[in-house]
Amino acid sequence: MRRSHRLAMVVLPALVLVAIAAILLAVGGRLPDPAAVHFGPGGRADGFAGTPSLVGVFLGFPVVMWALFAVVSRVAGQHAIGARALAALPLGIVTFFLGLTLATLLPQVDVADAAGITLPGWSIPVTVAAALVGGAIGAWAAGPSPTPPPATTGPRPDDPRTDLPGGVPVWRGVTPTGPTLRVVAALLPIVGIGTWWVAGYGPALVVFLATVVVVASSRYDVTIGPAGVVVRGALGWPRTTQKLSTLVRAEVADVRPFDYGGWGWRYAGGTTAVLTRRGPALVVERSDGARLAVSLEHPQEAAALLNGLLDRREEHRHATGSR
Amino acid sequence: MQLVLDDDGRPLYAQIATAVRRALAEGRIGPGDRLPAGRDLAAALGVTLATVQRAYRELADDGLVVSHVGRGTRITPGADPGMTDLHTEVRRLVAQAARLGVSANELATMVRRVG
Repeated sequence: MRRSHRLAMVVLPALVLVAIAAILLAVGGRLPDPAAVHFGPGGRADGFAGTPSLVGVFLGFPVVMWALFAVVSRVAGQHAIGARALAALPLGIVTFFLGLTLATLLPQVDVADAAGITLPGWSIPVTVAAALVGGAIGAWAAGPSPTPPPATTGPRPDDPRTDLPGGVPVWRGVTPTGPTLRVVAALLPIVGIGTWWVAGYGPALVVFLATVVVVASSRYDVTIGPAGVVVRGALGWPRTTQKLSTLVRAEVADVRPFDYGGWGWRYAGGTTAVLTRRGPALVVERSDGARLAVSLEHPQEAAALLNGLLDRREEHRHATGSR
Repeated sequence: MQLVLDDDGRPLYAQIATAVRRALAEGRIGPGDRLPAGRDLAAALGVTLATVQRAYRELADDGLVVSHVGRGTRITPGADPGMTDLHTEVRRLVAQAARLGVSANELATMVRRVG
């Protein structure tokens, strides 16, 4: 874990939890028993709890949430585009509970019977503000997501290569369908029929539309030739053409859709990601440092051909003396 | 799937059509296989869409590919790779006849007489 992430996700939330514990210790003896812990419309108290439950609600719950989000963020990895947002969540959640503790307990200090307690008007905005400020501090402390390394000048010696056939090669491939997408695509129509049965055709139509969207964004066409790389959705859109003249090198890398915000067509941290499964993908690097990552059944073939074309371009440049 | 254009100085549409015929004859693509979408192939090759469309139309005229709006261009299901060779031979025959001043109609009459 990077130091900044440890600060945002462990140190600062722990300090806030200590503050909540200190408040509970300081005012615990001066609260009515049972104390109000829930408020209905108009801020009138309608839920009550004894002192042990107070500790559970105001300290136990945020500790569990904090641990949960710390684990999620850890699993997600720091290269995920959402890493900063995930790192901000633990602090946001514990400061929310700090606000909640203050807003709920302070009006009850030295009150004999909690039944008459009304929540002051400032309590909800202050609690929300505390959560937002906490989240913002968490995001700031976590620092920006790591930036990709700078682009190189051409294919590296260990990048995949192929002996180009004499003539002009054109390669076509499609993105594979990963197991998760398969399961989702298979389950959605069943969910749709179930929804029709239970809720009528209106909600079912929404599910079927969702199925169409999932299926449409689960397959992309890739065409590689001497002019560049074309990636296109199954319905003809979205579409991108990366001209060979703007490209530097191609490689095969293991990618996780999660790191780019999910399946389908994404843009994150300078990379256009067209991913349909976790695993090997063609990654193309542009001279301006931008990248294109595409899931492919045979990314090795695609990368090798592309590097071959790039090598040929370099040889041509040297031969003609142009840059 | 990979196509290889010969870069032999013939018109580009003819090079594309030949590349598809050869891939089919060599078994690198087969009946039902999808060809690159016209726009994609044009962009990847750096040629105009019209050039690719002309190549695909020529292949469609020979019955080697079928195009459907929205579903792209595919090798005709049931297409016999042997047919490619026949079409190539016919083309060569027509070209030779033209050099000798024999029109396609006259050639057809000659073919019928042989058959």
